[in-house]
Amino acid sequence: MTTQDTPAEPAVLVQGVSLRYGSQIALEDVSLEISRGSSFALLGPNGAGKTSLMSVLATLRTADAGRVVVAGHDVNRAPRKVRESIGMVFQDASLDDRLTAEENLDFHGRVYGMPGNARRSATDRVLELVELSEWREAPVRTFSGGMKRRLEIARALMHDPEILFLDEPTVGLDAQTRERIWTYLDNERHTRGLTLLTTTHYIEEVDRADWICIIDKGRVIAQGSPSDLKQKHGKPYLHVVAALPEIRSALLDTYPDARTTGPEQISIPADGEEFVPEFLSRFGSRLHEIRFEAPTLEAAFLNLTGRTLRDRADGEREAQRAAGRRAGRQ
Amino acid sequence: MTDFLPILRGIHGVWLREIMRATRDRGQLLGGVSRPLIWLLILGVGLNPYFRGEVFGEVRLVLPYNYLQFLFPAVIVLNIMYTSIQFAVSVIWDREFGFLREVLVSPMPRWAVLLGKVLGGATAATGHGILVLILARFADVTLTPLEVVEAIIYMFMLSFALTCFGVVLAGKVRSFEGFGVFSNTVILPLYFASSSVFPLDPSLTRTQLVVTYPEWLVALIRVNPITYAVDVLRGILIGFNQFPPYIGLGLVAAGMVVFFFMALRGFGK
Amino acid sequence: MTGGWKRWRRPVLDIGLIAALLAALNFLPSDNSLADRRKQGVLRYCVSESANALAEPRELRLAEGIARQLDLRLEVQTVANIGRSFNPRDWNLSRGQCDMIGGLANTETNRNFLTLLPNGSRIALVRAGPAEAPPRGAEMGVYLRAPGLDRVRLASYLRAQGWRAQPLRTPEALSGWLAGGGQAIVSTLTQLPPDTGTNPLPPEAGESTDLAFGLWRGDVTLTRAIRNALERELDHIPPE
Repeated sequence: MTTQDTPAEPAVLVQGVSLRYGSQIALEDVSLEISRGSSFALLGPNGAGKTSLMSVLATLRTADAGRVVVAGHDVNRAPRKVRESIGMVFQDASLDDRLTAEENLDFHGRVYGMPGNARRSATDRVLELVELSEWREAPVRTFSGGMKRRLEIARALMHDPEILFLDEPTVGLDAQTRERIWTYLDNERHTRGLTLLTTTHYIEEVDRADWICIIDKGRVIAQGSPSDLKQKHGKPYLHVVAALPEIRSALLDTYPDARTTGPEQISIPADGEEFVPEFLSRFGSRLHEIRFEAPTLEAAFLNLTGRTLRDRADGEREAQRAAGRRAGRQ
Repeated sequence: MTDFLPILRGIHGVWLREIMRATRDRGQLLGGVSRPLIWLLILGVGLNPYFRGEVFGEVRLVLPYNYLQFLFPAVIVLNIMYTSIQFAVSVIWDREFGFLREVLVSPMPRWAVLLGKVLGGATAATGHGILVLILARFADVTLTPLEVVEAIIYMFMLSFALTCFGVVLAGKVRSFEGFGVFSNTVILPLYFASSSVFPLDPSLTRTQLVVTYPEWLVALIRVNPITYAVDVLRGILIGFNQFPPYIGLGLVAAGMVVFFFMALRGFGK
Repeated sequence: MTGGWKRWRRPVLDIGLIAALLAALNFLPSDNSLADRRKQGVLRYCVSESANALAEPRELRLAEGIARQLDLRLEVQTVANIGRSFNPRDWNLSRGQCDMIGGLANTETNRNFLTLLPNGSRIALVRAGPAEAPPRGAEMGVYLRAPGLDRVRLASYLRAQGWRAQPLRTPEALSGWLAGGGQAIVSTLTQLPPDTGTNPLPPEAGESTDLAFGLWRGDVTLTRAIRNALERELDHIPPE
């Protein structure tokens, strides 16, 4: 690990990066900053440029223009230093099914130039972390999708990186496994100051991030903390159930944006900080049920891109593909 | 040169992985045995009587060896060719399944990754060549320990060159299915057109040769590098050369270098 | 490497099994040549009429020893045809007739036709007759009979000496020629009339080579058995 850089320096600095594949624009004038120890989510529909950006950060591709500094090293001038300080969890399974969990990790350690005893202790540590210690000698082909993913995360952490890149890390996994994986990652973040950069489709995962960057068609269209983005680009709603028709008509008269959304239900946009106290003082005692819906990222994303966050068909296809890829590796 | 040790560890790691994969793949091991069995035990034994001397002064096989002895080095080369070029599958496989990417984002330089892989493939191929050597007694090929060592060193050189060649081929094939074609379009044609299963009379001039075989076949055999590769191994194992051995050795050595750099150019793109 | 020997156990067992299988296959016979001899109980050993046991008793002893080791009866067949012409094809010597041929020079020419097992006896060319070589222009008899010697080399030697070659085809012709005061180039295997002197020839005339047993190329199992038996025989019948 390189530690000579100043703590104030961001983990990742991207300034005016552009990338083209032939005539197709993959990234255009992308600038962002990821502070150390944070969890950063890169959000965007398929083909928005998330993977391209990851490739540039991981020194797999060279940007046509702009400057990229990762862990204090310029990706063009010191790609090896950059590679030493990052860990990568790919969207596609990339474990060797014929080898055991331990052998996969050992291989990774060798490739990262780790000496034998460092490999052994790191193997123990990361297997412990992802709760796979008991499976260390099992061949990876006997693993479930979730176990493989956990092992891949363990592998990416093996050489003690400063920054972990996770490309759609939980696609095709059930909610429980997703939760477990995030527990491991947050744990590493808090104990070791690991910086996370994630691309994902799952709204719950985005919500966990400290900072979100929404990109579409190769451009950054918004960034901020989840609450910022929701505040700025999403709308909260109040759903109220009132049995008496006169109350319902009074609501509709008072709030011109309110709409009837059920047999006895009316939904009202809850804009502004003073809305809720004011509403409660007026109508609070005369309603059967009040439900507050906080502003969502989904709504914010819709507002910004004109698309839903996760094109459902798309997401499912992807999940199947990922599962197929994993299953196909016999 | 403090960077050297980690790179060496990386090369060793990649090599080790190839060895583990190769030795755990029972299908590949079985192929490594079944080929020599088919070629030496079935084809060799089947054809041997037809190349046998029957009348003193009449010649069926122009070489001072029996057919099994003649075929034996060629079967080793065939086994090496198959394993080396089959190794390209693992490169395609790694590309398809992201394993290559995992290595390519590591600090290991690309040439070191390729070197580790090729050394692994070459070791496996040499191993398959050694499996055939075990059958030496069957073919009535007697070997001294020095000859065995020479043969193994040469087999490794040949394996290295062919493995790099396999990786170059793999760079041209974009899908798995494409590989099955290799065996029919590359391995077998090269093998058969190399004087591996039938001899060119070493005492005959080119003009005399085309009396026995059609001109085009002789030409094909003469331009085929495998002809010279097999010839060197024959020189080592049964002491017989149809061509000066430095031609084959030079070709193999050049192949190691040229194919390695060609493979490096296409590797990991 | 962690895991140590354990991870290699299965692959090593697999490879060991394969190696053992291949090693075992080595003991499959590659042909019937030895089995056929065993069935008949006879090893047919062909020698030239003129280069018979009397001329080369050591070779015969070796052949007998080989047959004994293989549990076969040695059947010596003297073949008048052997050496009749320079081209061995004219001798009509076939695999149906002989299993092993004696009295062959271990030369490239012979190796092209047969598998040769050098047996430690030697063959060379000598000049039969008085110690003094004949003058240039004289006629020199040539009686070789031992096949596979380098005739081209001998011819150029004769030319260089200025001698005119006079081929002698039969033993009678040879003894007649010598009795008439002529000199002749002969091989060391040739039976000469008593009291005939022999004089060594320089290397330009022809090399001194091993004698070898000739076996039919392609008789893999018989060749191997005879080779092994010969090696054991040579332990107590050392090379000349």
